[in-house]
Amino acid sequence: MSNPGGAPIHKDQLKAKYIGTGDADMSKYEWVTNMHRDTYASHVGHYDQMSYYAVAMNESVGRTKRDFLEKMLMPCGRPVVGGKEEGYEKLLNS
Amino acid sequence: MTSITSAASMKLLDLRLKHSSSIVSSAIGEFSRPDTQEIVCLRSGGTIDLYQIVVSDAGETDEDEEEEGQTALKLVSRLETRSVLRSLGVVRVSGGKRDVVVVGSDSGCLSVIDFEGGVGKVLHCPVFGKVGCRRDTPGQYIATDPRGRATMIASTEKRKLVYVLNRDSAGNVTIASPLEAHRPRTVVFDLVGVDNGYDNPIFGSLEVQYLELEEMVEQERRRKEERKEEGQDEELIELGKYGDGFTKQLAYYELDLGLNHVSRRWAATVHRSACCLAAIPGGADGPSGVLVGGEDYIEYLHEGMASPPVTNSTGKNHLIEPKRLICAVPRRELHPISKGILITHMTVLRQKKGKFFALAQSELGDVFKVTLQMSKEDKTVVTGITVCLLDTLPVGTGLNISKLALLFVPAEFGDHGLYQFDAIDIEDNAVKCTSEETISAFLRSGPSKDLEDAEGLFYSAPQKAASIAPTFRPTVLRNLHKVFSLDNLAPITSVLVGELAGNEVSPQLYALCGRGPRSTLRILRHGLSVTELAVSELPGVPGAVFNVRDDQVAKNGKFYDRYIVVSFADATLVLSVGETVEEMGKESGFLTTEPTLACSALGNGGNGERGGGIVQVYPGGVRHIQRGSVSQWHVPGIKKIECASANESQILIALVGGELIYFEFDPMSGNLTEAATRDVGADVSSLDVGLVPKGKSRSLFAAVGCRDSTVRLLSLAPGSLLEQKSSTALGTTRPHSVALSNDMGGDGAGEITLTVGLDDGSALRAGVDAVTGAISTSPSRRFLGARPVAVSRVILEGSPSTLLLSSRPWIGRAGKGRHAMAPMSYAPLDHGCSFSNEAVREGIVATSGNTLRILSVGESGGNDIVLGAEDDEAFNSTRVGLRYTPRQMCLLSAKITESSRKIVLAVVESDCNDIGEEAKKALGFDETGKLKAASKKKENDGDGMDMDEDSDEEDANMDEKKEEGDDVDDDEENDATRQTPIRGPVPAEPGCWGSCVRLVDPADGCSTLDCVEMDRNEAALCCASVRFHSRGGESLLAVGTVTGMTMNPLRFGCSHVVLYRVVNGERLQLLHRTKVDDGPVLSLVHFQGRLLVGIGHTVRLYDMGKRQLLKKCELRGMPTMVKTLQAAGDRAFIGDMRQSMQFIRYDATSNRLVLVAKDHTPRPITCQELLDINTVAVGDKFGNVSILRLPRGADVGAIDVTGTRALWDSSREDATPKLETLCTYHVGEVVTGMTRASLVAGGAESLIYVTVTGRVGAFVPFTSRDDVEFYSSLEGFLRQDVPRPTGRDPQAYRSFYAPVKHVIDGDLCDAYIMLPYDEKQKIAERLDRTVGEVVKKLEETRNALL
Repeated sequence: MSNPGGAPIHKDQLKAKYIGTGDADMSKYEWVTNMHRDTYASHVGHYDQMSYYAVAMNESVGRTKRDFLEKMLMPCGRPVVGGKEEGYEKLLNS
Repeated sequence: MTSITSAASMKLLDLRLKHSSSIVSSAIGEFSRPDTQEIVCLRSGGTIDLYQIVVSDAGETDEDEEEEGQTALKLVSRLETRSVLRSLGVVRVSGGKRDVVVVGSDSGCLSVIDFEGGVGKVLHCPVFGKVGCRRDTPGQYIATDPRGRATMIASTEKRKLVYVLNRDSAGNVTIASPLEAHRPRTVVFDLVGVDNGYDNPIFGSLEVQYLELEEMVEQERRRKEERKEEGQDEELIELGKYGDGFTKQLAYYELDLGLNHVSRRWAATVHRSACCLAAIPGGADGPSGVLVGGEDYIEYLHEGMASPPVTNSTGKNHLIEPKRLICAVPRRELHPISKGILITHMTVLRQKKGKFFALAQSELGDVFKVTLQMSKEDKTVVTGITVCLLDTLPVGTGLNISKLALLFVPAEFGDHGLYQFDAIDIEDNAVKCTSEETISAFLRSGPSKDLEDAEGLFYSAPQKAASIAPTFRPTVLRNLHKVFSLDNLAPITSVLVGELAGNEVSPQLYALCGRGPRSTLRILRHGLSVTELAVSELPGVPGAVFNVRDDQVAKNGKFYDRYIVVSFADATLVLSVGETVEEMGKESGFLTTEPTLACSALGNGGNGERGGGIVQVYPGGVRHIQRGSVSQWHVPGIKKIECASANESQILIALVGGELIYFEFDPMSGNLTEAATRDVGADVSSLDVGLVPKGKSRSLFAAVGCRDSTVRLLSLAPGSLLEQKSSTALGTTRPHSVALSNDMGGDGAGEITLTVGLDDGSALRAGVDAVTGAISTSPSRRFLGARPVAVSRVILEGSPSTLLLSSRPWIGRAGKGRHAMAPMSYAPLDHGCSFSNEAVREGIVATSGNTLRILSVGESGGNDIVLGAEDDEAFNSTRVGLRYTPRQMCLLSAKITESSRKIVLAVVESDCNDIGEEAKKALGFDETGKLKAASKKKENDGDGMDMDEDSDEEDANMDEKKEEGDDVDDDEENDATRQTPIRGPVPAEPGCWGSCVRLVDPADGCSTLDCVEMDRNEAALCCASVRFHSRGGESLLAVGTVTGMTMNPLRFGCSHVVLYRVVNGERLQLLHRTKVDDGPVLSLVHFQGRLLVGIGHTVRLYDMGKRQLLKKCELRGMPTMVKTLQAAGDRAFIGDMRQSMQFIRYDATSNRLVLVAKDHTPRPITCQELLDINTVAVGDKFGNVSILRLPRGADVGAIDVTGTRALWDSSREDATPKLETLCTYHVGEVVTGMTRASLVAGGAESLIYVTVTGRVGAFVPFTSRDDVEFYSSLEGFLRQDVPRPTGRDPQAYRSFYAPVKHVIDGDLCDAYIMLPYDEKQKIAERLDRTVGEVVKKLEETRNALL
């Protein structure tokens, strides 16, 4: 990808500008986290979906919304450090 | 339903029957004109409503004259945006006297809307981002500067834009290009415009920044190493609690007006659980700053605020760091101390200069008043906060306080309420907590090295809060009383259509609504509700009824009726209307030995003119009764008068054979003069001279219905008396009655509408040119009932309407641009006319058989959808209270005796995160708030009926309640109960449920027959009626239950299928319970004389055994969880929680279930409805409706007739046939229930759907190619031309998740009516039709449905 002038845009620059931009080296954790954040943001934006969840959980819409926003901070738990295998398994189970 | 699916290309039209009724966001302000407070509401489904608060005078009330007058909300304006509305801001741009609305939606635009004069107009709609409810597209939050200089729009993450608002030299609002205030990786929880006088505008944002991935990984690595060193596992702190590694901040973003630049100016750490903000008045009005509401505490923060000095036990002064004030919120009794109570929204009301208070509502519905104490020396220094309990209301989505001491709370679920304050200075007596108490409790808690850390720890422990805050027990309303409620069906969980009441003409709509203790079963009937005011017996069956107006003007300048004249076959009965209705004899002057054909009071009355007396037309002549003297005109010869019509100055009679004679009243002489005669050449069946328009002396036209199937319009203008102006032919049917009505236009010019009631039971409506008298060429015709239609004029809500009587009474009225017509929910009437007196302003007097009835249309509470006022269909609802959130219902046919059967309705109700009825009672909780009388109540009934009574009383006894509410302070023993039940105590641990199975009798107003409470955390989630062939085909109720389920993560104890028998059609008898163990049971269906059960990701077929169900066969491996199940023939249709539909077949020869086909699109199914054996309509969690069909021949290979199984299964991914998607449509709200039904007896079927936010709609199949072409092209034009208040493309909205396919947006087509005339004309031309024809077509489509 390049600027109109022809200068290439650095990957990090692109990532900073457009949140959720992926690349070939993206870890599964990063991808899933992004996905979840997008999902929660979409749920929070649709009032009807919020009330659907609120009815299901028998909480108030206000609390459901706050909980969803909180979950956006770390939707898939802490990142996994250590062996790659271990992390993959943990993700699948989360 | 063959018509839906058989057409080669299936096309559906989405028609809205009822707007979605839940309110996303609301605000109060002066929008249409200065000094009139109005409420603007964003409704889910994309409408912006403007409601005016109407306080009527004491005299205007109908029932109680001594009441203080009625307060109501009246819809002024409605804007359809066709977008997802998310946030709302109100801004008074400097230099203006009115507020304008700023709306954030999913369109990537900020729209600035002005409601000048009650008409919504989009001032600006600048585009800033991509379309959709995205994480980084602003629209989720809007804040406005209290001084009206700027507005900030923010996304959930990162992006914030500030728009500077101003006015140009002409006074128009201008908007500058946006300024960015982005902050990466920052999740915003709330946004508010801080009031700091006329300094630079500041916006307060409640936000959390998360770490970048690399940092997070690094942090995690460090933690891991530390843990290794310490050699122990660290306990994980739940997200959102103190210590989870994030800090929540209140940040001030300052807009520097000079530099035109936004910067993050200041930030302070707040309570970790904080959730909402409210700005405190600043500048000259107060100390400025922000209130932050969180779990258990309300904080006050402001940049540079002084630390409050606090005296601790040792007597030393301490300064609390960081600089903030914190105050605990009073807690509910019985609330578990391990759980916090979250304040979900707050609002601030500025009273007079320098005075203000805030209201905060908790997630349980308790409303608190928050006041700040300022230091005596310096009014800008806040020294303390007091939080005291105001009242307990239904949980709302906002709090709107009006200057009229009214509080509007749009409820999350259940009816919205408008409350009047009875008291507001409640600090002395109320349950309260102060910041001083809170802070000293913190200081007492012990010394600590790190103050900030200690504080955070302290305030994040609900146990600590419970030790500080006083507790209260929610009771009846003390400081507020309800004055008005706005209907809200949300959430509707299920729907059923059928004529179950047993004695009504058209089917009813049964909807399961509401949540928790406010749940109701609502029975919706199409039509207007009618209040019966009086019924009296008559000596015979009358042939006509008339009203005669009083010639004396009442105090308020209106005429009331003096007589009701009832005509019989050979007599006339005159009833005088006064305090009571009395029969008059000869003294009235009427000829009582003959029937009456027409009668009216003459003269305009008032203005000092002499009363003109009364004219009575009887078959033998015309009788003019004037102050005791009577003059008569006899018909010459042996002819008889066949029919007649009279108004205040004109009388037209028709003799047998078709001779018309016209009389006119001369106000000067006070006499009647014969003015003209004419022979129309055909027998006349009906006549109408119309109404005298206001300020005129005569009506200019008369309508004459002739037996030769024509209706003619004659001129009554002096120059051209009885000249025929136009006529219309009716084809094969004859006119039965005619009426001319003047629809008063806004400019006073008025339009004339001709309504003809026909012999074949339909009614015809046509416009009449007010000058030439030409009848429009495209009259609209509608079938009303099985009897000839009698038409008469009535007044409804001050506007002229028509009463049409056939086998059902109907009312027609010109609404906003569209003629609305609705049946009255009442018994058939024979004759009727309008009626008005002091007690009944706008009534109807009518006869039915040999009774005379006085009726008024609309509920007495005024909470009714008035015909034509909102563009909804008129539905009236009756409601029955339920105990928990209803989940599903099913119909059962119960055997009473050998020969008779009865239809009963079974409803399963369950609430998660709740405890059972018995447990609540044991804790001493009463949801009615009626504590003292609780013991008395228990005696009455123990089966939950007490709630039903309360909700029934809700509307009818509102006035009574009001008085009771007033008395409560004086007399605690008073028998006041709550109108709306309170949510009961919340269990401390997850996985607690309250649930019951209820049996309801639809033939008896849905009274509860039996209610079986499930105990031990068992939740009934689904039900089905099943007839086991092995057991003689008796209809049994199967209920699927699960015990101790938690949803996230999904865990449960065990699940059961419980079987009940209905004994005598009134009682549930438990037959047996069968334990199933593969997952929760979410769906059940009767399947070929057995029971098919969806258990987790397994479907299993059961037959009935003596002690439990017997497993016959099963199919494992459904993708996630079976959510919905339906069956037809040997097929079953399975809706999966995530992976859309699976079709399966039962192979009887080898006794196995075989997967036939599946859908290739993953849809989280919420509901499904079978259209035919190959086709199913499904609704998903994202608000889409799709219709899926099994491709022809796809299931042939699934079952091998030879009985030899293929080695490989057809469930293999690539081998399974895939379903075709026939239609896709984005409704915009989660569709929770669908049913295939017709709303009129014998009408065509359509697909009725309901949504979680209370919308009721219908997908109507097209019946002809012409209609499809018409609607497609109309929709196409409207997509281009319709106004877009939020800048959202209608087509893109309907294609939110998948491109819209084969469904036409009826809402969009209806928007045609609201377009300006020249645009209508333009579109009509392109459609090769006239405007009238297009409108008629739209009406006809609706009429065919209802």
